[in-house]
Amino acid sequence: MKNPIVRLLVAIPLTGLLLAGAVAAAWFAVGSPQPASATTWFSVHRVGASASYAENPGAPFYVLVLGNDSFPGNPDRPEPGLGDAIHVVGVNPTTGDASIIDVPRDTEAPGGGKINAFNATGGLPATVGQLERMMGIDIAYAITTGFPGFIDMVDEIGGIDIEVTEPMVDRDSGTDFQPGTYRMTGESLLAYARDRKSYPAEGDRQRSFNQGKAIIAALATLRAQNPGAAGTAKLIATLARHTKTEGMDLGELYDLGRLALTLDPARVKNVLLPTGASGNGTNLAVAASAQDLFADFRDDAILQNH
Amino acid sequence: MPVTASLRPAAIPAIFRRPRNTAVADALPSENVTSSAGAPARGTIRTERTSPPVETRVRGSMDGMGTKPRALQNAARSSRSSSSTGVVSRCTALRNAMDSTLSGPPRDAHFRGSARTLTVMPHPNPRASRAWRAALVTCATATAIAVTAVAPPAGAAKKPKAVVKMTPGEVTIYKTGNGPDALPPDVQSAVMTTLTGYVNAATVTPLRKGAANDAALGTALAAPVVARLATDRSVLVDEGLPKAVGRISVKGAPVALTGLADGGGNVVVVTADVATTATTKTAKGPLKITRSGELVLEPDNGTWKITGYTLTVDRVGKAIKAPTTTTVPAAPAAPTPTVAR
Repeated sequence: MKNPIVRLLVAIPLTGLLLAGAVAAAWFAVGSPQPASATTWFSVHRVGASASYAENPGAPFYVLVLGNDSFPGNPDRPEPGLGDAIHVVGVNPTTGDASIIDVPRDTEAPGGGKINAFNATGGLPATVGQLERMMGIDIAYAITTGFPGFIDMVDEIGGIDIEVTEPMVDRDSGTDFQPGTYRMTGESLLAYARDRKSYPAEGDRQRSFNQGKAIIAALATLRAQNPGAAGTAKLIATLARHTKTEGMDLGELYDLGRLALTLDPARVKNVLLPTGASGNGTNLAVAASAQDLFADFRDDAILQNH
Repeated sequence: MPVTASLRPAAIPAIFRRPRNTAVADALPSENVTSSAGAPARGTIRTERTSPPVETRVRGSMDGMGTKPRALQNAARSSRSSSSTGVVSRCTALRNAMDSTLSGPPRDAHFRGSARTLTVMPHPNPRASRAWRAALVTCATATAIAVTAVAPPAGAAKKPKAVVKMTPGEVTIYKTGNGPDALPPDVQSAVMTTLTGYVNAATVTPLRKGAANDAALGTALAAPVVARLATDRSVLVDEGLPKAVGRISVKGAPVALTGLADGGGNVVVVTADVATTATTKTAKGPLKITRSGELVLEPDNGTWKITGYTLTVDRVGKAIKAPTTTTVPAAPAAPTPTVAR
């Protein structure tokens, strides 16, 4: 092909093919950004008929935070699992206060049986229904997470700072802590939240109380990072990839996240539900004194007198 | 030069100042025009532009022959052209009126065209000066009319000018799905519009009037934030300050925008990192207001409104008794000490 015209005629389509190939290769190599392969860390559900935070931003509202014992892929731990960590959080956006009532998993439900079983049989709505009956409140949101999601979530945010007030050593749960303040990974925090055998007297009750402490510690850790409005957007974007929402959108999730980060952990009260040993079998009956607690809770979502 | 000399006593031959691009062929005989007394005998629109300078000048120069009242001649043209040449005709009328006034006869008579009863002497001044005066009077009249039309009613306070300059800066988007990769232009534009509206309502209006217009604030603030005005008004609005008497300038760093998009690609939240400085002069002295922090905006019935805020406001200057700093909400608590495990 000495003829320059012939060379040109050959070169033009050849160059075009090469360019097209390069573009195609780049497309396959890079492509459009895809969301990370998402394991579900937790689910957030809009439940109940009460006004949402978005609808009435100044009104107190209640959130169920429930840790379930499901483990995806394990046939012995199917979803939705038992509700083994049960906490009802009351938030008063106007005052910036919040309160947590920790409900031991063996607490006897108003409908009979242990409260933790309702999640396995009826999911979040069933548990919410029992707690609403128990406390006389309307729960607006429910958040649930399993073991893997909990571990991943804690690791993603860089660990959580928590204070251990007494020795915790339990092979079953995996705790081995001496008193002090720790930045716990997902695995260690899960162990901390599951340990009941380090408390021979209180057992599950102390464990439940510790879980409430872990919630406040998580809030404090996130808040200490002072993410601001833009940082919260980044945080929510990260969490949302691993969050299953039901009955609410991302904007509402963002608003709730922003609200949570404005709460001063020092103004979040953690109270264990008073129970007695008079329940059916191993059930823990709700103590009579709890009625006063519930009354204090349901007027403005805050425990002033407890 | 011989030509020039022959045209005296006119100072400058009028023909030399004849407007260009106009016809000169229709220069009118003065007799026909002056006798018509307002009704054009003949001629065209173009004569209005050209004949007075040309023909009248020529006749004026013939001093002894100036038996025709030039003012009436011009008046006739004025009447005629007013329906066809617009501004030119009005200028001519004014000029004629000037001529008449300067040469003595009552203006009314001049415009009534009672030609035969008037003794109008040829104007002694050059036509050029008449033209300039006419132009001057016309411009002055036009200016007076314009000023009268634009000026506020008597007693109304003069509003200080305001310049609000807010521009978008770095834009970031966080997404939970496949897109978008950037903040959509329409969203960005709407957000900037809301931010500018907020600054106008929260700062400019109070500085002008002494108080904010809550209805205007409501176009930028979502209902929950409007409700928060009861407690955070001192941060959200610049009220209680002396009124501005000078220009109000609001400038600031480019606004960093951060968007959050859901799995469907819809932007559900935009945060704006604002840092603005408003400066003005008041009767008591200069005033400077610095507002910084983050605003959260969310869609609201087709617009974007401010749904959250973290703001710090500093107000300093001789205009206020003592500098004030207000922050909402309180800064997050310091991190707790940790021990690595």
